Amino acid sequence: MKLVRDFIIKDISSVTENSPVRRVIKNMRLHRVSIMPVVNKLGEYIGCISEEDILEAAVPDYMKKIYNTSFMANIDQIIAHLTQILDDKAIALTDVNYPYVTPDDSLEYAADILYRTKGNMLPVLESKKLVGLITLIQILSVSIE
Amino acid sequence: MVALASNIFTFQTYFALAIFVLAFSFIISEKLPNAVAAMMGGFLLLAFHIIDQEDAVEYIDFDTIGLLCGMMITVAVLRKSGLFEYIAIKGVKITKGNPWKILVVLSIVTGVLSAFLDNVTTVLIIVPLTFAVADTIKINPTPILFSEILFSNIGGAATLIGDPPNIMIGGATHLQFMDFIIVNGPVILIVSVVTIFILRLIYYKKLTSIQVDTARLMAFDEKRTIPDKTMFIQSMVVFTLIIVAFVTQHVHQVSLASIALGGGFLMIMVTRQHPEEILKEVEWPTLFFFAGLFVIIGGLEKTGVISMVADKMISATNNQMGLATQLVLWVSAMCTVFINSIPYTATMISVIKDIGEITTGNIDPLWWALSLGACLGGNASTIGAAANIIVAGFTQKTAWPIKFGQYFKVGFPLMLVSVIIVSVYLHLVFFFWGS
Amino acid sequence: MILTVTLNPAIDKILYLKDFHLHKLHRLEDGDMSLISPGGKGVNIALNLKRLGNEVITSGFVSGNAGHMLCDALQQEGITTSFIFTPGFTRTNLAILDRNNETLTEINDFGEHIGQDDIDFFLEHFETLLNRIDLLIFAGSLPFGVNEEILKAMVEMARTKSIKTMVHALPKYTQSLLEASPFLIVPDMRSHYKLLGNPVDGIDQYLETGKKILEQSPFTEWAIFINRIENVVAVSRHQSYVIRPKNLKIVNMLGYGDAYFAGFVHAYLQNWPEITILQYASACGLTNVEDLYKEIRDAQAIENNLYRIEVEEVG
Repeated sequence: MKLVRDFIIKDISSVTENSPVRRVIKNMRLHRVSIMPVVNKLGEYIGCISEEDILEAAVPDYMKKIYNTSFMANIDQIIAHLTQILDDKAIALTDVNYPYVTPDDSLEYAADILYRTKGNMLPVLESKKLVGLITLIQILSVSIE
Repeated sequence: MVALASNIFTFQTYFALAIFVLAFSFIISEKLPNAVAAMMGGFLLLAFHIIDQEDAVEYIDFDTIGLLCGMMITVAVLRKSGLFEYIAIKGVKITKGNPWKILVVLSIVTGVLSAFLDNVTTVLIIVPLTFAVADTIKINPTPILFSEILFSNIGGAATLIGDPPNIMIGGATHLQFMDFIIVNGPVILIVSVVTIFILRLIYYKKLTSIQVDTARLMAFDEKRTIPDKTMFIQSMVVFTLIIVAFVTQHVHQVSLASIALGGGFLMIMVTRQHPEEILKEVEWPTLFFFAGLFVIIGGLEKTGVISMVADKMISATNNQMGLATQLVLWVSAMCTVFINSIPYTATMISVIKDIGEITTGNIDPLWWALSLGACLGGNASTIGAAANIIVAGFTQKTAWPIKFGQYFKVGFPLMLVSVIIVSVYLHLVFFFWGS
Repeated sequence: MILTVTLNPAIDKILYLKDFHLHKLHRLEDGDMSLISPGGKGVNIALNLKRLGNEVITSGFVSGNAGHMLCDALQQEGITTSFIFTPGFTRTNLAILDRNNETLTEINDFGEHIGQDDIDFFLEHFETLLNRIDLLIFAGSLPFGVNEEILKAMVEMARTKSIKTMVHALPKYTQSLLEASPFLIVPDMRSHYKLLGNPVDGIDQYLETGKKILEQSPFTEWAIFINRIENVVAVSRHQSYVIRPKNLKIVNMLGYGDAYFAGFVHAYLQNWPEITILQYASACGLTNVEDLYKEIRDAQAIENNLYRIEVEEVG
């Protein structure tokens, strides 16, 4: 059985719960990731914040309720609303229920979670501490190696 | 028989009444979802053999439920066509960004859509658009939202399919689609004009003093709202057919439920939608709510409570239809200020039917009084009608939450004005000119 | 777990040529070698520590494609990365080793300019890392935009969590380091002969300066001068030492200081006696300079070289 431990990417880049959304976006762009783990002051993992989470917060409620979304294409409401939340704390948008795995979980389990959540990355935790990541492409790559 | 029923209160009577009161209080206090409260109440009546199975099925007015269901299917397909958004955006653009004109146009659109669609569906379409417009030109949407609430209920009263009370009355009586347009239509027009006039007194200065960025509004692109032109045309054609079928009902005598359901599925067939997807959009809880409600009220009927109320009403009005009409109108309007108009109307339909059986006079004025009273009464408060609750609820998470008192100050007086107009109208039409 | 901080890391481009001349076109051919690897003092120390069997996290600022390359390469080595990405490009440091003439030419590029926002975030992130480490290492230079206050800030934050800090940095930072007062100070004296304003070269001056450092810096337990590999001078609170390797055959000085430093850290963590620690550290340095690569590749060789290290206790 293949274990997460053997495929883990040892990167523990994260933002803290008090980091502003502006920092989260900046980190995501420069790190070239679409999801960032969030830790507290003690370095304990709290959850993850994704591009989708930020977009979700930026899209005004009324826009979500509009059946046909495309007609607002020429208006910059989303950007305008996003600008307003740039100084909000990351914790406000953090998905604390984002799934995670441990190094001793099987790769199969990680793949199953990713399939169900439609995600492409899972944080790997060891007793509340982030020790790395496992990505979908790594799991897929197992088949061609 | 009437005297008998009102004098002998058995265990069955008390039980049915208790179930009715319990279900009603759960619905009003929102302790239980409407459908659950109604279905559980209906079940208890059956479980304790207050009514038997055949009776229960008999009491459920499948014409009403079929009509509702058919319209839900039709609307689900129509929404996909993008027609409603298209109309709303076109309308908003005509105003050139003048906030007062936006209020008028969106109110008219709301009123007209409500006349042909369920009110809740209408506001679900219009309110997000209103927020989008308000956010774009940076104005407070509250006056516009108030007006939309008012017009969703006013417009809904105009046709048989516009509002749940009308659908129920249409389903339960001999009254047909055109009857509603002929009787309710003119008075609704008058009420609309008066309402707009009063809103103008309140809001015109406030709204026209705002400088707005018109160019941003013009960036809305109504052409994008229609994803598929062919489907748009197909659904328009079928919808027109459905409306024609409703209008000509007195000629072909096909039931309302059959027209709606047949039309709905024709719509699915012609536009090649997946039935699973469309049927998911049907508000099944609402349909079960109706079914449960019919059973509970059936229980009241069977145990004689309804006859007793009908009896009391007749004696209270001295058997004068003019007085009874006014009584039904005002009681309906006042009751629906705070309670859901659906269970209220369902109960009253039974009562009025009973009155019809007892008296010899024409009870049609009572139906119109019930229809207009129940539809317009809902305008008084944020909890007066399902659409109001939806709009107020939607605003709570936004920067412009609608408070109960804030709306009541505008809604209640306007409701009173509209009911006064209706009161005069009904009297003139049925008892002054009519007699 | 050890954290190494490299605020100004680099991609090291190392060319091993047979015959290097100025004003000449060199085409690499058989026998020449070209290596690209993650670099910068803290990164090199992390690589060495990992080779010696330690679990290491490394942090600092990186940017651009080079930054991603650097992180990938470190992860390949089993090192946990936790860098802050900044706009721009991580620099490339060039080293040319002429094997016939035994010369080493190094060109270290400018680093990135780091904005205050990134510095603040780094410290915020650094604080979260402190909860999972036993030892902090700061090595290398400060990039543009980062002032010496950061040294004090890091050492003090670590101290509040009872974490010792070991520093390997340019002598120009010494004044700030005396205020920060880390556990170990190893000035990087390559091409610098002045410390605290005075010329410092030769055993006596090293001993004197080392003692001065310990006097002025209350929490510092060790000051070590390593740039004269034949006479390494170490001053601790108990004793001063001069360490000399025997029969030195220098192949490549590149990475010597980092290997020595990593050796000291590793040995210190084993709780060995002072003399053994110094012996091991020098053996690491020795093993490194006698090999072609900038980091220790053959950990076994260290054990075999231990006997070649002579430690003399002085004053």
